[in-house]
Amino acid sequence: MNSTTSDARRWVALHCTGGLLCVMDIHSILDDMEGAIAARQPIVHIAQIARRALLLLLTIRSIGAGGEPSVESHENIDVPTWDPFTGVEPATVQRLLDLLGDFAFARDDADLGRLTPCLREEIQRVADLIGLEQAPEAIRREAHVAIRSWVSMATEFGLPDPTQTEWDPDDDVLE
Amino acid sequence: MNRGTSPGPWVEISQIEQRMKDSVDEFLRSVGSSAAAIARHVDELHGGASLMTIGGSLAHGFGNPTSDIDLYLIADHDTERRHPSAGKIGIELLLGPWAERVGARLSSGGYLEKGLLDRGAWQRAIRILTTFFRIPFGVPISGRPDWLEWRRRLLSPELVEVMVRFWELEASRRWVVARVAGAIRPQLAALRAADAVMAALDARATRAGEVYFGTKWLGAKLSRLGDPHKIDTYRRALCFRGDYGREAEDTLRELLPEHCWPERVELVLSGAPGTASHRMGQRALVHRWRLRAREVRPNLEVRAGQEFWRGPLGGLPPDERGLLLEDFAWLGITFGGQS
Repeated sequence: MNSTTSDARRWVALHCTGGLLCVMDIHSILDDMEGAIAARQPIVHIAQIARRALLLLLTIRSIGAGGEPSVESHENIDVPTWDPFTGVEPATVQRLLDLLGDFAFARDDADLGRLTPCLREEIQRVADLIGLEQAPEAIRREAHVAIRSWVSMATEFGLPDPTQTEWDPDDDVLE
Repeated sequence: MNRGTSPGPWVEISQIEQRMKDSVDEFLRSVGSSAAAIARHVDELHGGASLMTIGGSLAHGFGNPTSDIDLYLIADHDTERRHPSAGKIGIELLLGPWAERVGARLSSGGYLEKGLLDRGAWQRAIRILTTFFRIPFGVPISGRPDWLEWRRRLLSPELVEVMVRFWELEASRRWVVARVAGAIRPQLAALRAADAVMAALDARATRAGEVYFGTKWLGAKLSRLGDPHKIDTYRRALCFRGDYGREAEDTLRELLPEHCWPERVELVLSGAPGTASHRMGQRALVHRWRLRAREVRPNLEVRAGQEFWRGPLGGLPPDERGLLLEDFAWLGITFGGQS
């Protein structure tokens, strides 16, 4: 981006939290998908993997457009009020939901072979939005300096640490 | 309290145990390894485990050639909690005293029966389900006799019921949000109604013997259970097309016991992470991360992790409703007004 933003914290949220979600979560989901397709696991299982990726793509877009940047462990399943559609252009929402519908009702390998490149294309669009300068795989593999800079920048701007999981594993008080 | 469902799993624990063993044996054969070889290898690396199990997707027949081998170790000494070791073996270490305390609490019964009040309680539950449960719902590959016996006693219908309760709670929380979002945010309402249906299907699949706690395996579990009606329900929830919220209402009433329905639970709202309040005369502002904010009545104070309202869905005041819908609140629920 070579322009002025009136909301620097929003810009930081998109690039730090969005960057981490794109590099770590979405690409881990893609690994799951490739493994599942290769092992010929049920198509509804593969569709569920695609759903997770598509909802995270919406989430990243929404972080840049007014949405909540706290995206925590377990893909936010503890936060039913998390709204991945906030601020996202209706045409983009529709395109991603149409793709999700196609995955959900895919019938065979040919359908999956047609849909998977569409998912990759959507991932690339979000990588371009964030401005990733290297392939996500490389950043992920090397615990790259980019990740450290995202964490430090988010902290400096008073935003949640995008890598942090908050719970205390030794807290054993069960209700 | 009317639970409305038959207690316990619909399959014998012994069948679950045999299937886990068969799954692990088949996978290890396919990759040319053995339980004994893995146990030796891990003992050399870390030594002195009281109990070692193979858990995760492999133990439940969902592994594929790219899957990691997830090992869960109980040990009495502290070391790195999670350490990727050689190749595709991932190790999660659980400390013996912690495991004993959790096991004793679970064995005493009733865990999660009253609901989940706050985010801390939810996080403790998820940690137990995603780590501790991998010990009983995993395949032991080495261990001391007393710990093997401990595991054997732990593996029970009550543990299956804890998983069912978690999924029913989650279904209920999501259904509440779908109701609150309603016509105001129809896409969020449809998504959360779909998520509620998926959690309710997970509860049913668990009772039918699919006891691997993993949010991403529901499609594979339903396919294995082979119920075309539930698979069709699942497909429609995956993509929540059109007026899905209305369709989901009927589905959820069919799948969930009555005490989980939104009109029967008590809502407990606490401040989401990053929230705080500021009062300025007759106005007050609740913000989250100083990034998003909502004006509320001046006597409503919201702080991260602090409860600020509880009551039935029908009694939710406008400010609290707005805070919940705009993701400033963490939603807990209790059943039958108990806490």
